[in-house]
This record gives sequence, structure tokens and C-alpha cells, in this order.
Amino acid sequence: MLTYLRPAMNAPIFQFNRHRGDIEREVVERTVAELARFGGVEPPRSFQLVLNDAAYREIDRLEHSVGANPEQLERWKRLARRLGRMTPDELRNEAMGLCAHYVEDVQGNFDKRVYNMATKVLPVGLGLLFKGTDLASGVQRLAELRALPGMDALRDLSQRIRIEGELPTIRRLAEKGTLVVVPTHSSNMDSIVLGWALMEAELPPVTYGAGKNLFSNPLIGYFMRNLGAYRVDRRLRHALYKEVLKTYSQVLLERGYHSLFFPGGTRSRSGKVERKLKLGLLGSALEATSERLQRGDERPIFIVPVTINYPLVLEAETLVEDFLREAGQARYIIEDDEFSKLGRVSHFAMKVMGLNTSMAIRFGTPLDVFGNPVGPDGQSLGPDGTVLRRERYLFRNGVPCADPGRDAEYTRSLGRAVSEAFLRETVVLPTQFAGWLMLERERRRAPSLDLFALLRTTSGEAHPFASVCEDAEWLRARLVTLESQGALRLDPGLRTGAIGDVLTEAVNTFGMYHLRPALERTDEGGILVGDPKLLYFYGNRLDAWAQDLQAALRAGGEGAR
Amino acid sequence: MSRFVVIGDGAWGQALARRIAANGATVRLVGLQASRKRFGAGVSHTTDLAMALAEHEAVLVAVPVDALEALLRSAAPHFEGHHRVATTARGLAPGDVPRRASELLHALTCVRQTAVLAGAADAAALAADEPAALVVGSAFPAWAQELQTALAGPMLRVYTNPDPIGVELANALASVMTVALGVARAMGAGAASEATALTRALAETERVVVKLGGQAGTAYGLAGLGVLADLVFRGDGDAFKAGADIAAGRLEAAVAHRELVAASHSLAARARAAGVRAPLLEAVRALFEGSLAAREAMTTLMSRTARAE
Repeated sequence: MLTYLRPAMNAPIFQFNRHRGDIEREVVERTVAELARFGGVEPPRSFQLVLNDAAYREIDRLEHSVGANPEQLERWKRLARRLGRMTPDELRNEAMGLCAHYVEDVQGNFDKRVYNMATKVLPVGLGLLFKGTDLASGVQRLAELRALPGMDALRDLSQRIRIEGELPTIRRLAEKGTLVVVPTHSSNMDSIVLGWALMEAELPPVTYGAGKNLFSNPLIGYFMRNLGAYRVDRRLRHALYKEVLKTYSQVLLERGYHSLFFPGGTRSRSGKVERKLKLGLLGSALEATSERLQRGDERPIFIVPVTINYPLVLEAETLVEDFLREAGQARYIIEDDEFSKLGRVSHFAMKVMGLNTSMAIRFGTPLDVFGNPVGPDGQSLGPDGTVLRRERYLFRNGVPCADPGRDAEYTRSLGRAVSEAFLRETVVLPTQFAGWLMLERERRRAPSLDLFALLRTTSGEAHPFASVCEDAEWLRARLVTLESQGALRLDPGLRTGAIGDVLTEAVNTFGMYHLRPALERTDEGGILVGDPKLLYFYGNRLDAWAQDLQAALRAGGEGAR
Repeated sequence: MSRFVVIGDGAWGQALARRIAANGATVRLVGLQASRKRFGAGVSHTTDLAMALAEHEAVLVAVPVDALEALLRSAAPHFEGHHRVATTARGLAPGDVPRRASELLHALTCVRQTAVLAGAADAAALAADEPAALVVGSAFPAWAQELQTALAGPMLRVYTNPDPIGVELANALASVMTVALGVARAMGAGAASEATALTRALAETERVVVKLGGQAGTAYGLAGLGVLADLVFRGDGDAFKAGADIAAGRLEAAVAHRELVAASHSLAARARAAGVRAPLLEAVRALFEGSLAAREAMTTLMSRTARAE
């Protein structure tokens, strides 16, 4: 039976609703104070500029979007016309009103009852969602549905998702300070799967900003709204809205809410582990630490890098297509991908349940806001293992000292530490392994083709299985060495399984979900490349080590001859 | 009043300590052995590294690059988050993977606020108050300015550059490139050939700097072009002399400049690992090794396949 008995957890988010009004007021106040300095000028000019920017961008957006609300457009146009004649008070009030409106729109909710229910039924709920049962009315019925036939297959979600890493340490740190969970991002499933993983690992719930479009799925929307997610409308590009968002996340962090954000900013289009990170929210963590310190509050903030490793990615086809479209023209928001098609989600989920390979969620060593590793007792450790006094990083000549230039570089340094952790904690799965290897073999067959040409064609000729196995052994040997050096992680099956089985597993996995299989077995037993783009997407997980792996493959081949 | 620690009491460390003290700061000069020598007003000598680091936050490290790792290991337990450290060694620290001084600092200590000092000034120039210039490469603007203020003098211009990686690499590359230019000069290649070699040396410096994470412009700043021009114009520095020795077939005399041999090896290795074309670096490395004769090097280098500039 699915009974989840959990220790009483004490996270600020459980009291969210009591402090809701308070938070809203603080966010509006601080945002308005910040906007009063907009453009480096004094009010009322600063308010005039920020309102003008908002009106200009909103009018532009609404005029170019289909089905926009004409009243809304008219309201912005009226504001734009009046801006020049408004009194200083009117300008300030207008800015404040807009901030309040947006905070209202952004603000999440946290319903302890939903959380309690979710801890019990979310595994089933996820299964249900995946199954595509009647979703609109599904919520109340979730508990009953546990008894339905077919649920058995869904109950072992925990066996399909492996949660690993420094969980005991992170549990202790959640009691000692505030967690900022920073995962890799490859799918819209990420926040849901991770939310479940946090519950499963007995870690507290986190608050996070999620694209407004994700809330359109009724069941997911229900859970997201009531489990601490706040809404980010990525269509709004004006400074006032951005400032509201930044302040909102900052205020929650300062108040000790465990938070989640995806430092890659958006789903990895190429399938590569993200290297260029958005530093904004990492910077907020340092700012919040420094703010707290000035108030004499020494509760630390811990950064927890997490990798989410899928054997199959729900949106793989759309993502890689988007990546291959010319750079700069990539659609930032994909509105109509696989995630919005429920049938596709459930199809995906059922397939994942049937896989032999588990997806892996790996929690890395927590870091402090300066990028130092943190030990089980919450202490920051230097490279030589000495315990560090964290606050000293903010000191100069014996006293705390504000220095934005220094803090910006600290944040870049933290970004580098997170991106190194992403690589170290990447769990290489058979599909990624086979994807990289098979594309590499195709490349060697057609060395003169550039990447784009290579991805548009296949050699059309099966690769003899024995020869693929031979290459795969060289590749795996190198990966095992890299793993022993702490450079990355391997799926247990990939590490120790018979190499033929690993490849077969990968071929089968690809064949189970993707409309056009990435790899196929021929009647003669060879491996035929079906979709090089998918190989590219999955293989890119190994891109950071590509040169090293190519060299190992060459050396292996030459040694054999 | 500002207070500094200078680690390393050789000629360079002493010159830096005197320069800083001349601006009114207090300096702790740290050496391995006790010394009764007088180092000038404001400079006090000690062998107690731990104490010096407990007292002061601003640190200059003036030890040669091959002694850096051992020093940083012993200093690591005494560093804290508030310490600001500038390294001044030219070249890469030896090891399985040769590392820049600031990479080493980051790997071995908890120090974040780092800077590198480079440029066309040596201990003799500093001590004699000859006109010279230094550049402080640091991503920490306040630390860079603090160093600028502390070091600047009537005859010493100090610039800042926000690209520490570029400064460190360009500085190291310049001295190795000078060896090649020394060879060309000693072989009487002529002004046109020397100019060609110089241009190629700069282009190669830029390529390597960019590939290893620095900014292109830094190669043409004080740490790159500045150092290169200084060494070539003076024509009597170690690197230039090593080039002359190679040209004259005196390999033993040439390889006596161990730091240059090491720099050519380590930089060539880093460039190779990064997949960047570096024919001059490779040539200097091979010349020191004796696997390439000077005459041969000149021919190969001048007759490489034609390509766009």
C-alpha cells in the first residue's frame, strides 16, 4: 500500500498563506523603491520612464498578438497618452497599482491539504496524469482511483525514478538554512518530477516560478498553484514586470523559503548539459545572504545542484528541431510542443514505466553562495578541508563592506561551480551513450559533411553489431575511467552490463517512444540509424567530454589493429 | 593606512615591497629564512607566514612559478574569505596539467578575490626607479584599484584590466615568443623577417589567449604586446639571450633558463589540449628540446602554407 509516513517538516512555506498579504506589501514597496531609481534618474521622471517602457512594450505586444484583449490594449494606450500630463503622485500611484496587479498575478499559493494529499497520492497522480484519465475532475477522485485496476503498474514509479546523491546532508541543511535547488532543465516534466522527488526524499517543498503556459494543463496547474509555484508570464518583457519578479523571488528567499530555479533559463534545446548559466537568481542568493547578515541573521543559504537525467525526453523532437533552426531565430517559448498534448504525455509516461532503465535524479554536493562545498554540518569547506567563516567573504578590513563589483564576480564564480557540478553529477544513460557513439560512427563514414548535412542524412547502411560492440567497449572503458576520476557518473546498467545488452536496451528504448526510432536493429542484427537528429540530441549529453572520448575511440581502434 | 603582505623576499619581492611602502603603506615581507637586512622604511621582514596573513588581508605573491604550488599549500590553512591575493609569477605552474597561477590559487585555497600582476617592469627597473609600466588583471574592480593605488609611482604607471586570464596568459606567452624573436635576430634574419615574426607572435598570442578563456584585446595590451616590445627593444633579457644561444648552437646555455623551457612546454601543452594552432610555441619548445635546429625552424616557419592574415 502507498502510505507515506513522514516526519513533521518545518518549512516556512507551510505558513505561506498567513504571510501572503505581508509578502505582497513588501514586494510592492521594494519594487516601487527600486523603480524610483529607474534609468538612473529621480522621480517623477523615473516613474514616467518605467511606465512609458511598460506601455510601449505592452501596446506592441498586444497589437501583434492574436486574440488580445482590446480593452487591455485601450487601457495601455490611454496611459501612454496621459503620461506627460500626470502629476508626480499620479505617476507613483500608477506604478504602485501596476506592481500590485502583477504581484497578485505572480503570487503562488500553498495549500497544506493539497501538499498532504500530494505526498500520499502524487506518485499515483503522476501515473494518472500519464495515463490520461479524465483530468478535469480527477483531483477529488485521486484517492479513490488508487484502487482502480492498472494502478499496480503505476505504483512503482519510485522504481522507475532513481533518486541519489547526498540526501542525508541536504535534509540536515534544510533544517539549518534555506535551500536553493538548481537543476538541469531538459523537459517541462522537470518541475513535477523534481517536486515528487523532493517529497520522496523527505525534503521540504520548494517555491518556484513556472511559465504561465504550464498552468493551462488543469491537473498540473492545480498542483502547481497549490504547491508553491508562482506564475511567470514570459510574454511580458517590460522592466516593471521583471523587477516585480526579481523582488518577489528575492523576498521569498530572504524570508527563508526554500526555492527552486533552473539556472539554464530554459530547456536545453541541444540536449547538452547547460554551461552558460543565468546568474540573476544565483546573485539573489548572495544578496539575500548579505541582507540577512546585516540584520544579524546568520541563517545560511545553500545552493543544491541537481541533475535530472532522462533515458527519453518527452519533447526531444521539438527541442532539437528548434535548436537546429538558425541561432537567434529559436523560439523562446514553445507553445505547442509535446507537453500540451495530453495523449502524448500519457503515451510517454506509459513508455517510461515500461523501461528497464530508470531515470536518475541526482543531488550534488551543496555549495555556499561563494561556490565552496558545504559539509553535513552546514559548514563551508576550503579545498584543503578547513572550515571557513563564510561571512569573511563580505568583510574588508574587519567589517562587512558593500562592494557590488566583488559580489558580481562571486556570483560568476558560483555559476562556474554550479556548471562544474552539473557535469560531475551527470548520469550517463544507455540512450545517451548509444546516441553519441552511433552519431560518431556516422560522422566517420562521412567525414566531409558538416554537422547540419550529417543530421539531414543517414548513411543508410547498417553498422555491423560486432563492430559497434567493439567501439562501445572502448567508449565505456574511457567513461569508467572518467567516472573513477569523479568527472561524471554512469548508470549502473551501463557501467557493468554486457555491452551487447546495453546497446540493445538503448535501441529498444528509442523504439518505444519516438515516432521515428533513432536506431533500429536490422534482420541481420546490425544497427541502422533512423533519426540522426535524435542521436545528436541524446548524445549531446556527452558533449563536454567529446574530444576526450573521440581520442579514446581512435586509440582503441588503433590498438586493436 | 593600507597594509600589505608580500610573500617572497627575493629581488622582485623586495622591489615590490619597497615600492608599496614608498606610497606610505605598511608591508610585511615574508621569507623562508630570517634576515637582518634592512628593507627600507615601512617594510618589516618575517618568516611567520601565518602571522602575516592573520594581520593583513592584501597579499602579493612574489615567488617563482615552480615554487607556487608548495607555497599555496602551506598558506592554504591561513587564508580566509577576506584575503585578496595578487600573483606575479610569469609562466604556468608545472603539473600534470600546467596551470595558471590564479587557477592554482582557486584550486588550492579558499581565496576568491584574485589578481595578476604583469607588464614591462622587472626588479631592477623598479629598484632603480626607471620608467616602467605594470598591469593589474582582476575581475574584482576594487582589488584592482587598491593594487593600482598601492603600486603606482612617479616613474611607474599601473593600469587595470578586467581580464585576468588574458593578462596571465599573454604575459607568459610573450616571454616564450621573445625566444623565437631572439633566434631570428641572432641569425641576422633582417628587419622584414623580424617584423613578420613579431606579427605572427602577436597573432598566435591572441589565438591562444582567446581559446584558453581570455579576451582578444589583452594580447595587444601591456601584458602581451607591451612585454614583447619591452623584451625585444631591450634585447638583453633572458628570453632574448636564450634565443641567441640557440641560434649559436649553445643549447646548454639556452636551457639554463629553466623557467623559459618550462613555460614553452606547459604553454604548448595547454594549446595542444585546447586544439589551437600554435606553431611558434611548438617551435620554441622543439628548439629547447634540441629536436629542431635553428636554421630549420626559420625555414619551416617562414615557408608555412600561405593563408589569410
